[in-house]
Amino acid sequence: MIDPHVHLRDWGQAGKETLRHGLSVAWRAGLDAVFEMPNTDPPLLSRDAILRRVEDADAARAALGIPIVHGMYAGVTPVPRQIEEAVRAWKDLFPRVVGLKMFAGHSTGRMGIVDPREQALVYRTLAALEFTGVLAVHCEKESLLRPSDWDASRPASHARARPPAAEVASVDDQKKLAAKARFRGTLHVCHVSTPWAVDLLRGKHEETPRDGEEAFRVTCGLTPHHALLDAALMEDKEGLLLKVNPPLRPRPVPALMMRKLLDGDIDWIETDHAPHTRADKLEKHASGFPGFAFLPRFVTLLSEQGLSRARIEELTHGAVCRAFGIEIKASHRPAEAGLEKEYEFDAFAFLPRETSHTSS
Amino acid sequence: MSSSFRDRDIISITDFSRPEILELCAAGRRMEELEKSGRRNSLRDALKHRTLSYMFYEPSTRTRTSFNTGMRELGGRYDGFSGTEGTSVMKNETVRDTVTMMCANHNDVIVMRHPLDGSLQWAADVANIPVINGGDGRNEHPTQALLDVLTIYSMRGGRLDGLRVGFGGDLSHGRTVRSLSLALSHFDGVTIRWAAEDFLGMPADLVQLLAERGVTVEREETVRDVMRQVDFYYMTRPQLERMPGVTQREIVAMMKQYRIDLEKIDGFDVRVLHPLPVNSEIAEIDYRVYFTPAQAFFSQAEHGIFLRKALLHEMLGHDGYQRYDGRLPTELGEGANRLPRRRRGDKRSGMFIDKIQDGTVIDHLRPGTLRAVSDALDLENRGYSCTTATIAEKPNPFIKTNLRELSERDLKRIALLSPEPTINTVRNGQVAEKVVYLLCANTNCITRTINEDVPPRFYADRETIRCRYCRRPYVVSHPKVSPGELSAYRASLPSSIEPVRWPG
Repeated sequence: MIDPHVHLRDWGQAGKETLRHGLSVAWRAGLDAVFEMPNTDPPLLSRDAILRRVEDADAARAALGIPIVHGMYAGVTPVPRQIEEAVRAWKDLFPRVVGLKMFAGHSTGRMGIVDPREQALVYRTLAALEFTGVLAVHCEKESLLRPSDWDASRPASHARARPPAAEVASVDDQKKLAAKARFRGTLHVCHVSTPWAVDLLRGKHEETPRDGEEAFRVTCGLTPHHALLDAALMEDKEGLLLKVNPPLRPRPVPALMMRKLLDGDIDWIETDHAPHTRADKLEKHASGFPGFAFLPRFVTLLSEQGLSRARIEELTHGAVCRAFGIEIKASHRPAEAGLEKEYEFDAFAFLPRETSHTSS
Repeated sequence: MSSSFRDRDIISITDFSRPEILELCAAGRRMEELEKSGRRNSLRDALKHRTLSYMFYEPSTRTRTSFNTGMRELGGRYDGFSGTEGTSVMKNETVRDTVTMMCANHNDVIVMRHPLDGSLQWAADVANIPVINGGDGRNEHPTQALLDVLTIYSMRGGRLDGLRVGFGGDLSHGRTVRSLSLALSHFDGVTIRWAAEDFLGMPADLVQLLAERGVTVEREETVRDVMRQVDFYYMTRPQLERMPGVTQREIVAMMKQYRIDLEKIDGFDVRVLHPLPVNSEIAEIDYRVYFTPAQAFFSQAEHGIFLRKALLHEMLGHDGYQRYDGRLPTELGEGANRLPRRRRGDKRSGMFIDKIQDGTVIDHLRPGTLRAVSDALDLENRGYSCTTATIAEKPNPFIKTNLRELSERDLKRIALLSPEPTINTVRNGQVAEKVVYLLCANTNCITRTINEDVPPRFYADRETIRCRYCRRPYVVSHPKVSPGELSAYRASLPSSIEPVRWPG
C-alpha cells in the first residue's frame, strides 16, 4: 500500500510526531511508501530544506531498519524563482521529490496561495518550466470561507465555516486556470470531500465531452474520514478532535463519497495523516488527526462492501504508481493491530459501529 | 606505374606508412623538378578524360584551387561546388546522397571538406570512387599534413628524422596540427615544442597519442623559448568558426603573447610555416615577417600544388574507371554500436505501471532527461503508448512503449539527450534482448547528426574503443555494464577501419 498524502511533522513540530515514529507506524500499518506534504516547520520550499529532510528521513529509516519508501512534495509559493527551485528539485531529485503541492486555501502552515491571479501565475510558471509531474492541490476557495461562522464551543460549526461551495469553486478555478496556462502535468485534487467536486472534476457537467485537447490529467484522492465520518459527530466539545480541513461534511455527503469510491470515480485513497497532540486539538483548535492506524480497517471495510482485491490494490497502490510514474514494490504485509494507541486520541473511535455507511 | 595510392581513399594521415609518405614526397619532388626545369606540360595528358569533383561545404582557397590546378596541369577536368549555397544541400540533402550523386556523375575522384568530424570517412564509405579528405571539422586534413611534410622534406634535403618543430596559434580547434603532428610521428627522434594559451593548447588526447607513437612533446613558456630550440615554427590560425561564443576580441587578447612578429624571430635561424589563411584582424603573423627570410609559408603553399598533383597522379594515373550501378552497401544502413547485456530472469512480477507484452523498455535514462526524451520520441502522436516511470528512490527513469523496434534515428534522439540508454526488447512478456546503445561522445561527430543517418560504428584499437568516423576514443561509462560484457563487446569489434563491402 502507498499513502500519497501524509504529514510527518518532526523538526519544529516534533512534539506532535517525529519522522521516526511516523515512518514506524506507517510501516506497521502495512504501508510500503508514504509521500509527505511540504508544510513542515520549516516548510519544504527550498532545495536545502528538502535535502535536510532526505537526510533526516533516511536516518530515521536506517535507525528503524525498515525499507519504507519516503517521498516528498516540494511546496510552491507565488514567487517564480521559488517555483523554479521547486521544479528543479523535482527534476533533479525525482522520484524522491514526487511532485509539488499548492495550498489553494489556507490550512495548517502559512503556505496558502489564495488569490486566483497568483494561482494562475503558478500554473503559467509550471507550464513554462515544462513541469510534467503531479501538482497536488488543497482546494478550498478562500473568498467563500466564512470564518465568522466558526464557534469553538460548537465544533460542528466548522462545516459551515468551510462550506462545500468553497471546495467546488476552487476545483473549478484550478481546472480552468490549468487549462488556460496550458499546464502539462497531473492536477491532483487532494482529499476531495464533496460529490459535486468529484463530478466537476470528472467533467460530468460539461455538455460536450472533452476531445482530449487538454494536455493535463486530473486525479483525486479520498480520505477514509470523508467517507465515514460526518459533521454531526462534532456536536460536543470533544468534537474538536475531529476538526480537519476540508471539514467533515453533514449527512448524507460521506455516504455519497463512499458511493463515488465504489463507483470508481476516485483515483486513490489517501489518509491525510496529520497528527496533533490532544492539547493542540482542544486548546489551539488545530485541524487534522492521525490516519495511519485506521487505513487497514478501511481497506477491510471496502472489501466487505464488495470491492475486489485487484480494485483495492489499484486504489491503494497501482493508481498512485501510474499517476506519479514511480514503480513501488507491493509487499502485502498484514497490519499490526492496536496502532491507534500510538497517538493521544483516535478520531475513528467516533465511528458508530453498527451503522452501514453505504446505504443511502 | 604501380602505386600504393591507386584508387585509395585519403582520409587520415595515420592510414599512411613511413615508406608511403616518403614515396609521396619523392613524387612531389619530381613534380617540383618538372616545374622548376620548365617542363610543367610534360604530364599534360596523364589524366586526360579524368574528372575531379570538389565538394566544399566549408570555405576554402588553397585546398580547392590547388587540387584544381593539379588536375588542370595533368590534363583532367574538375567540377563541383564551393559553399552549399546553390546546391540541394539547402534542401536538406544528406552527405550520403550528395556524394552518391557525384559518383553517378561519372567523376573519378572526390575532394571534400565538411564541418563535421568523421564526415569524410562516411563519404568514403558511401562513394565507389576514391575520396580525398580536404578537412573534416576539427579532425584531420591529411593532404595539408603531407604538403607540410613535403615542404620540410624539400627544405631539409630529404631528411625528416630528428626534426625539431614548434607549434603555435590554435592547437586545439584546428585539424592541421593534428594531421601534421601525426604525420611526423612516423619519423624518428621528432621533437615538438609548443607555446599557447591553455584554451588554445594541445589537446590532451593528441599529446597522449603522440607520446604513444614516440614523439617528444614539450610545452614551453614563451614563443621565443620555442624558437630557440626548433628549425621550423608551424603557426596556425585561431579557428574562430569552431569556438561558438568566443569573440574575436577575446582571441586577440589570448594571442597577444603568441603572435609571430619580428621580435619573436629575431636572432633565430628558423623557418615559419603556416597552413594559411592568416586572419588579418588577429594577424597571428605580423605582415613584416612576410618580407624576412624566415617566411616559408608561400613556398609551402606552392608545395601544396606539387603534392596534390603528385597525389592525383599516383591515384588516377592508370587506365580504367569505376562503373556506377546506383546501389549502396547494405551495411551502411545499420550501426554496430549495441553493447549486449545479460538478461536477468523474469523479475517483472509486481509491476504496477503498464505491463507490456510486446514492445520496448528504454531504461537507465539520466535523471532529469525523462521529459526531454519522451518529447523527442513523440510516441503518443505517432500512435504508440508511452509510459514514463521511475523505480522508487532510484534516480534513473525509464520509458515503456508498445513500439516494437526503435529506429536508429529514435535511438540517436534518446542517446543525444541521455547517453548510453539500455534498450530492452520485450516479446511475449519476456525481455528478448537487452543492449546498451552507444553513440560517439564527440559533439562534432557526424554520427550524432540525426538527419545524416550515419550508422554509429566503433572499432577496437587494441584496448581503446574508437569511433569509426571521427576516430575519437570512446569510454563506456554505463555503471551496470560488467567488465565481462565490455570485453565481450570489444572483442566483437573489428580491430581496424575495414572497408565496406560492395554488393555484387
